[in-house]
Amino acid sequence: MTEPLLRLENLAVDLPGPAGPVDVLTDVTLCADAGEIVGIAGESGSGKSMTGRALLGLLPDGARVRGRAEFDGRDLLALPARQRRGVRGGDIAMVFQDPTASLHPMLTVGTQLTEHMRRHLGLSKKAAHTRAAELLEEVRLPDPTAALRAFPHQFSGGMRQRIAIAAALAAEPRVLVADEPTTALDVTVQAGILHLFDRLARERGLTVLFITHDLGVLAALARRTYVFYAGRVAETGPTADLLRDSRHPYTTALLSARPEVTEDGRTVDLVPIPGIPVNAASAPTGCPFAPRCPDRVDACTPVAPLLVPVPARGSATDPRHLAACVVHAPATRSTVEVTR
Amino acid sequence: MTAPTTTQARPAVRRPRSGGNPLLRFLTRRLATTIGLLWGTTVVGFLLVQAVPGDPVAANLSDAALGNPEAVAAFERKWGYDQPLPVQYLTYLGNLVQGDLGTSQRSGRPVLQDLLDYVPATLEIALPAIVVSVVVAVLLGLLSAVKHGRAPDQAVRVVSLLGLSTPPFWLSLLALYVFFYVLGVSPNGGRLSPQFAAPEHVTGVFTIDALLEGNPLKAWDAAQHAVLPVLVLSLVTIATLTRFVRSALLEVLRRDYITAAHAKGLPQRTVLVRHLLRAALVPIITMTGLAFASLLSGTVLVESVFGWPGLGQYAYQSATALDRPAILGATMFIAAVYLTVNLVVDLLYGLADPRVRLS
Amino acid sequence: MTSSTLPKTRTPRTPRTLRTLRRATRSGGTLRRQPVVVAAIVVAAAWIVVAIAAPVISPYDPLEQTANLYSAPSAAHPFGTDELGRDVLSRVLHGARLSIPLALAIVTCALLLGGLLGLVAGYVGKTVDAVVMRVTDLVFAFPQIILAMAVAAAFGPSTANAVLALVIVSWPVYARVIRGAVLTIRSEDYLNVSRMLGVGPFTALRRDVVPNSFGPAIVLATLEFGNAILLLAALSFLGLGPRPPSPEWGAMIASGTNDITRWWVSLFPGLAILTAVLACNILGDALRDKLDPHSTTGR
Repeated sequence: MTEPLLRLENLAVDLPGPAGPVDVLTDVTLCADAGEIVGIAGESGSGKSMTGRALLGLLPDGARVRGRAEFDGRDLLALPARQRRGVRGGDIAMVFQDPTASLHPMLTVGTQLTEHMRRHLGLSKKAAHTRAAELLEEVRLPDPTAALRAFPHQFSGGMRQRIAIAAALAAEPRVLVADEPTTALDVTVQAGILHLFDRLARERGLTVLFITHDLGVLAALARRTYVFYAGRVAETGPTADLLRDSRHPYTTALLSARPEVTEDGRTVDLVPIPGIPVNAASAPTGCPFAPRCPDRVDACTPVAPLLVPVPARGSATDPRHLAACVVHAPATRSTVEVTR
Repeated sequence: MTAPTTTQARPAVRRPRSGGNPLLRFLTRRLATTIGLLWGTTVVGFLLVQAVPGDPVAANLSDAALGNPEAVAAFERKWGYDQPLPVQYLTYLGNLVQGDLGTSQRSGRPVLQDLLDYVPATLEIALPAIVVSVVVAVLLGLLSAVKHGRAPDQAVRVVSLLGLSTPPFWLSLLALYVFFYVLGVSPNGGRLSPQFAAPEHVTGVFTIDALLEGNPLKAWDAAQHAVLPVLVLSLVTIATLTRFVRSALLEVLRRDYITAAHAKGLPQRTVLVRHLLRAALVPIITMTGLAFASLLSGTVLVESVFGWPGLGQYAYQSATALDRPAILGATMFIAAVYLTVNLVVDLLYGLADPRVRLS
Repeated sequence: MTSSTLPKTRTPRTPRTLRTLRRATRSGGTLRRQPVVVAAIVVAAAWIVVAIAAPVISPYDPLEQTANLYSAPSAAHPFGTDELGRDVLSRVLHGARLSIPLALAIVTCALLLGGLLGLVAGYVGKTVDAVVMRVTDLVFAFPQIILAMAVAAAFGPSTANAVLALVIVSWPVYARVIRGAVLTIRSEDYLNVSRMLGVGPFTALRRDVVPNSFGPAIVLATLEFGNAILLLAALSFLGLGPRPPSPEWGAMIASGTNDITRWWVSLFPGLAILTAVLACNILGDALRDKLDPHSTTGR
């Protein structure tokens, strides 16, 4: 079995706060194979964006990181700053949520595509420009040569995001972290961008970490998904399994909170989750979802539950389906052995 | 005029392409605003003239002219003192447009002529001062923004607060005392040492004129005299500018495109220069306009201490002598200069920001 | 449905500024933790005390001329004497008695005038707003000291005219800032909610808009206080402020230009201005960090 290209192990991040360090990520374990699209789902404050930033080393000043972040066998967190910078853009790249904000308003599209391309790939100016035009074609931007000389504000939102994606791909990274890439776009434009990610993953063997709050998007795109809550992984597994057979009460609640229209035209009311989402800092000890959880028991509160494989329900249960819940995925000796 | 019947005929009116060149539209609007403001300043000037208490004749004419009934009559006729107020304003405006800012009580010469004589001296210190100020302020602001919250940032903030709180005229005295009296490294005010005569007037800027005259020693002497005034003017302007630059840079630093630049693995230096400064260029350009205002004000309070015969000293001496026509004339002149500089600054802003330049 | 059938509406929320101020000044609050800010508060308080107690604490009469001209600082005259034999220390102390109340008067009048205009402009909008904006633009077309100089010269040099000139020169800043604050508040929902619940426009203004404008106003007033002291000193340096023999700091510095070797005549008044204005600026900055963090007000 091939080693995953990307593996985060017990990743923990805390940020400086007014009254001492504040946990934003706790005990996050995550992996992704080459060419795989992995979804990271969660609400604001769940730590999903932080995971992406921790991977790239783009955390705010004063952040402390613990654990391992392995890329291609190397622990990124142990790398000296210079090498870390080389990884950024060159091996792992990022696409941001709002393309209007993440593209520099005063630099041409061409500059923004080629500036790091030349640095990472050592190309001449001419070669870089040719490559840049090819990239714009790959992301289906009309009239690439003219686009290179233009400025971001001259394009629509969807096209700007395509440019941002092209820029991220410019230095031929193997991993793309996409932080809510479609949230700031019109719904009609979103589909096109999702298509683009799918195609890029297939054609380039690109590994994509797709961060979003919209589980529906992941249904079509991500083979596997991680559900985050309050800075921890609540549940993970093949996306289809999560949607069909969610075990963690939070995932279940998240799915029920979507308004639906069933096939026979009936509307199913959305069921809101009581309480407000919590970030890692204000999470109680033990399971962070416990205060809002309908299946809460006494054992939930003292210690945070471990992320372990869910109990089998027939043969359809995938061994990669894990959940952190003492009620629905109790940590028995055997399950703990497996995850180690 | 009938419409053209053939396709080869040129249309009567050329349709502008998608609303016309945006930069041109931007400039036209700014020009219109500036002209509006210039007109507004004339109203203010007129009101101030009217506000002068007592007999306008006594307030405006020199003692020599007061004794001459013909001069008095001429004055009354020119400014229309016997006419109703709106007519007086129009007369005033008409005179202004012709460049007549009134006649100085002290010199008896037209104020405009006095001012033009004094302008080159101010330029000799104002231009180096603004260049120095902008460069230093950008560097300090950059240092401060990048090391936000840490020691260098605190130091810069304290120093700029100090600069903002220091009266420029006091700083000038202090500078003169320390560098001339105590250390002896600076001349005691003035533009040239006594052994040199003023160079032949070409530009009015002594350093340049002396060089043109072929007298490098004189040019060096003139430059030495300019050092302290430039220093004091710069210090005060740097204090104001650094804070603006710092907050503009901090504003840009928060933006996603800076994080995106880091995400591309670009080195810090590239991010700072190509991304950060470039984005902050626009507010920095705008601030230069404000810095200029601070500089103009500074000359009034600084030049007189150094015996520097520029606009500022002219304004200062007019103020202390209560030479009202000169004061008001100088005020209008300075306001016009300030507005023009701001217009130029806006033009640069329009060129620098592609969002304004292109549709 | 008349408004009398609705429950009496309470102010939707405590003004941000008051909440923050309360939090900051409770014992152990963050304001107290910065030594620089504490020092500034001490200095400011000291100057206020001096302004009040000057006649009591001054060793000499500030107007009393002696034969002891231009004597350097000594035990008898810690700040020396000036060109008319007057004790510089006493004059500096009495200078506070001039500068501080005058600056207070300037700031108060400018705040009332500018604040009111800004409030109305931001709240009513349309033509009123446009007119107020154009007038402030006009005043901003002149560098501050230049316009103040012109006004003070036109009206004739006196203390009252200097104050008038400075009020005229500084009210637009308040108008702009308050207007900006009002526009921000208007864009926030709680005002709309208030109005929807039937609260009348004036009441909404009084209860929702005004209290939430306090933050930027307080910050600005503190910063402008220092600026007023500076401008006042500049005007009297130019001979356009309080008439001699008033011990105004700026005028004292001006008399020092006659002979720079007698450094004490100018040094101490200048230090007085520097410390007072610096304290205001530090306090203003600290207040801005607390009450109006993302503002672009003033300098």
